[in-house]
Amino acid sequence: MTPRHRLFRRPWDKWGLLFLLPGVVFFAAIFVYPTIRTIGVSFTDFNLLQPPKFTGLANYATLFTQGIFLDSAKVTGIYVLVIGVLNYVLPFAVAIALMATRRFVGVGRAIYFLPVILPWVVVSTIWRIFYIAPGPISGVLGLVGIHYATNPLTQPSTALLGIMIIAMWKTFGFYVVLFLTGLYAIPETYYEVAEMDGASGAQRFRYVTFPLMRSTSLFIATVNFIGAIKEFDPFQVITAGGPARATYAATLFIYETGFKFLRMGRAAAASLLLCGAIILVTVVQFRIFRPARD
Amino acid sequence: MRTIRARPASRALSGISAAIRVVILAALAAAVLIPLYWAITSSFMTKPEFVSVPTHWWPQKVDTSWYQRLFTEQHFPRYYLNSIIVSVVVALSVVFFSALTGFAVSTKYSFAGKNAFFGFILATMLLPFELIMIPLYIMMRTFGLLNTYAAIIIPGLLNAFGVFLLRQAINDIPNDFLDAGRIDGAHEVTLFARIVIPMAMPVMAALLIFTFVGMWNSYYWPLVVINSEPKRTLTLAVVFMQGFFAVDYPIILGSAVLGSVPIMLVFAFSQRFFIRSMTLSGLKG
Repeated sequence: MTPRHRLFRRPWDKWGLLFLLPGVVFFAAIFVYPTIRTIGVSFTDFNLLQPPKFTGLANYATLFTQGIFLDSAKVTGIYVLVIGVLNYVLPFAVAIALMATRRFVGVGRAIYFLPVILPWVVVSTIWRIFYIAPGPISGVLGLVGIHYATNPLTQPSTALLGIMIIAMWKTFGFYVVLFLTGLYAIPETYYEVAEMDGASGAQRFRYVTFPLMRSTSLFIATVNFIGAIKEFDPFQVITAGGPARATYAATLFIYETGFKFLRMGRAAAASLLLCGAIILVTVVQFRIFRPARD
Repeated sequence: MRTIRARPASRALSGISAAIRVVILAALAAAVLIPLYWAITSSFMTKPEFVSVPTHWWPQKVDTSWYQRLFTEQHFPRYYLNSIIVSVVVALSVVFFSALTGFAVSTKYSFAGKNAFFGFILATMLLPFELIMIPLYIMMRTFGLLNTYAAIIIPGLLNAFGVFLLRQAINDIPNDFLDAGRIDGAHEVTLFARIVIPMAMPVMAALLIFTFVGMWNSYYWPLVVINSEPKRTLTLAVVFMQGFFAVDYPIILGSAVLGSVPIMLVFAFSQRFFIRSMTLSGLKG
């Protein structure tokens, strides 16, 4: 590193700072200031109409003693774990299968990617109705002899599963594309050498593909988990948290606490806990997938 | 050339596994397409036909009355206009300011705090929108911007993803190009306009489409700041239709189809572009 005695090393560097100005102003106004304010609001009782009243840690205490928030955190936790794992394994397998069937890469990628670009609202609307029983699913599953008589979204025990299926349908194509990009980057020769050494398909995956997909895996796992924690639209649109709060995710809790019941302080406190969860998950994933030193 | 030749003994076996693979991939493709196909055809059915069991997969008589109602009784032209305005403004703004900010934090300049600021921008990608939502709402209320396009647009004017993408693209521009311009006495603003923007254009185009689609699809923030009917975006309108038409499912499906038509068109014309911008996002740096 060269020691920096002055702010700018070259005469034109000051223009860099000038070009940065709009960005600095934007991020200060839209991220830094609101974040600080959220922290402040979380220590108050605030309903938008009267000035905020300082209440210390009361909001946090309420969150942890009233069951609603903890239940919503549990819904989010289950959703994130299931989606986090399935949306890693399935797209990885599909990408490998596509690579082995080169003819289908183009068309397969386009089809699987289609739901990714649709608005969540549209996907939620379609699936909410697609699930009706008897309905189109009864027709399709009837062909293979499966009797579909109950809409999973109407039962507390299966509603979250119903949303998970929709979420997989909506997002797995995104990860297929990312995995494909990673797979294409692995040099052909590695597989040729592995094959000459007599490695089986499973061994080629274990000793070539998987280790070389570490950074792709880290990226996908992080994006996938964080995306799942932040999910809001499907819970609000498909089931509105029901039935019996079976799909009342943490994000929905925050939205309703803040904008339906106008408890801004409590919603702010819950937002900060959500944010803490995301940071924690990210740190853990960076530890799991950290590139092996050699 | 990846296909690895199976040894003769296992060739029959690998033929079977290849067949199974194709069947599974095709089944997945069908699972993706069937709900979409069903939603589109159902939106052209009368209600009695829609509820008939077993499900019809093609309307006996194509019925466009639901769409007529969405365009006349409901104000879908207006919702289209609203979505187009906010999506176009945000996309243009993100592309321009991402290029400017990306140039500033690229390797083309060096000044104290540059990398720290870029690191901070990247960190904002992780954070949930909830972290800033309540104060943003209060700000919009204070400035009297609730129920305006401005309220929807302002938080979207720039984002970390765009800066990240353009910084990558600008780093790839050879230094010689800029230095040659400087030797000729070109102003830094001229370099930005005449060298950086043209050379980053493919990435900027990808970002433009990506941002447009993202804004078109957005729901959470518009839901918070808009509650007047004339300012509803398409996503808000689609959800509103569910409450308004309750069990008139074909018209609700019709509204969903209308909500995705522009996105489908964008996708059809720019699929490669779009997928590239998505994959550029993480794997290249």
